[in-house]
Amino acid sequence: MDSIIEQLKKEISGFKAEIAEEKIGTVIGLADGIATATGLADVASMEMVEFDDGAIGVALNLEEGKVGIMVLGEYRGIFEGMKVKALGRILDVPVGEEMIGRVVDPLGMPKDGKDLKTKQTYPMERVAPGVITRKSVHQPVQTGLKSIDAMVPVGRGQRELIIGDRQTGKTAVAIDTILNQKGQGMTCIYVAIGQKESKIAQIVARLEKAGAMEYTIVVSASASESAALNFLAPYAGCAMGEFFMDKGKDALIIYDDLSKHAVSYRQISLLLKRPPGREAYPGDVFYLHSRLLERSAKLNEDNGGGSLTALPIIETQGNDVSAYIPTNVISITDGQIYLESNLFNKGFRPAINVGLSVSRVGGAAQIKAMKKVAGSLRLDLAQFRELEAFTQFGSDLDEETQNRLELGKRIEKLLIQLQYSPMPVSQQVVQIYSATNGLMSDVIVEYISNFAEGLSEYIEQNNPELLKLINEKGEFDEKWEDGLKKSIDDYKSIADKSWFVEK
Amino acid sequence: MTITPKQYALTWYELLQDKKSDKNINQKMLTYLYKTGRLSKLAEILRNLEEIEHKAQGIEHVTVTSAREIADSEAKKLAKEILKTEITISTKINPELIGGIQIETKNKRWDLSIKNQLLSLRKQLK
Repeated sequence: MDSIIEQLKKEISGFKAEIAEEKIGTVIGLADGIATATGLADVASMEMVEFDDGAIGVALNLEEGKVGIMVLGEYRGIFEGMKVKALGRILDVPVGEEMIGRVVDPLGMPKDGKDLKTKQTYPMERVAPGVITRKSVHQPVQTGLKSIDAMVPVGRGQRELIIGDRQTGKTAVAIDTILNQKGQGMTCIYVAIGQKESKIAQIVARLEKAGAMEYTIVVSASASESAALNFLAPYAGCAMGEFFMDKGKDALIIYDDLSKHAVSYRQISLLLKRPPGREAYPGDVFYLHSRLLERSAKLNEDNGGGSLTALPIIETQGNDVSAYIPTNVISITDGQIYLESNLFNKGFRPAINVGLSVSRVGGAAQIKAMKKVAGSLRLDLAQFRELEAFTQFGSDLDEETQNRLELGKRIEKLLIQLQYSPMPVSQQVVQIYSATNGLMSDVIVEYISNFAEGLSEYIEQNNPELLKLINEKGEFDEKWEDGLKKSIDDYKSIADKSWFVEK
Repeated sequence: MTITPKQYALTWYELLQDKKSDKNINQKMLTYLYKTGRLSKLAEILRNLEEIEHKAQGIEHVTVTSAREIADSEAKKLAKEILKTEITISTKINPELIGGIQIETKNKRWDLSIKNQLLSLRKQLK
């Protein structure tokens, strides 16, 4: 007890009141979280200001004679005539290793009420790394989802959009990806923008249960928080990710979702009386997202070799990808994963539309083994879909067409994957190899998943060297192929006989 | 062409300065603003007018806020010491300051109150 008093005395005696000149202004108006003030003569754009009641704001609009201020958080204590003080600091956010495992708000304050001490801060708005400091994407991010890792691969430093209607499993894809990063040296940042508190709580609980919070930061700006905080959340999350990238580490950031981000920005812009454009979004809504996503990069060795991979999410209305915000973000990102409600309702989950999903740079990042076995997968599926539509009229089919149809059905079935069950890439290679090479042609379509699951387990127990070979070297050779074929035959001999077509 | 509040204020100020102009210029100006539907801009026009006047006279307007009542002359002396220009002064009493004074101009503030010191002490102890 005495020591506490002593320490307090020491701290208080170290305190020196300073008479400093403060730059101030006077509030002349306040509407829905946007305050206008006169004075504040030398305030900078994006400079933080403090109202006399302790509320913090950011100067956004600098006009002749007045300043438009976005109030962060509670604005009910502000009234006309109140003084506002410029803090001389551009908006920043605490960053560092200490934030891992925490749920924070967009200003970096912990939401659990516990202490959080960080040594460093990063500015929220930062210019993206330039051409000279970058390197092309060449290492994979393993999402653990068969259909993504095989057909729309994502590389470290890539920006891959997840797009689809509501209730199509967009967040599920993102969460599965986080779960699969365990032990892959990746720090994950999940940014919730305008989400329901209940959904965020559910996600955090799921991550905690799977032990994924050990390498994850959650930045949460829920639907009940002000538009200002929703608008800042992705930039704050990005700054936290950049910290790891600058340290030469790999980070993955998920923006869930940027449609709501654009809506928040529209609200702020309209209140600041900026002229509205298409769908009432302001003129700089493209730049709003491009400057954010451009900050994801793969740095070259001279700059530490770190990376920041972004998985932005966009929610479409009625499968309309040609709306304003979706087209903007599609054009900014390096590809998209397109989720469809039709497929979802048919039971294909993750409901990825393979035809419309692309990855513009990820192919270079796939491991060789996966590249080899999955090479024909996309084509096989596309041909199958075409034939399937054609054969619905029911006519006699030649043998080759029939084979293609059978293969297609099996591949389609194989790509179905339960939520929260990401799969290591080596297992994916094994399963996809056996499907595309016709080694599953004697298995009844309904039992494909049972067979694939059993096969994975069998190989893990009886031939772990095979998986090790893929995991470590990523290579694909004949010796490996022979070993796998033998293992599949062995498994077939012990597997449930009712799974197979009667000969 | 839209006329900005600043332009209205400038016109008003020039009319006020002009010795030849009507004695009822203020009333006329207000009537004009009312008739053109610009009365809603009055607050902003007056703010600009005040600013123009202070600028023209080279005088800065200072507000001195104190916790207890102090004499205007004393407040003026204190403020002049810090600002080192000609000033006009208005005083306010705000017991929330606990002690000390605050000196404010349009763009700047010198906070010498106990309240401010306590707040910065809180920040340091955090």
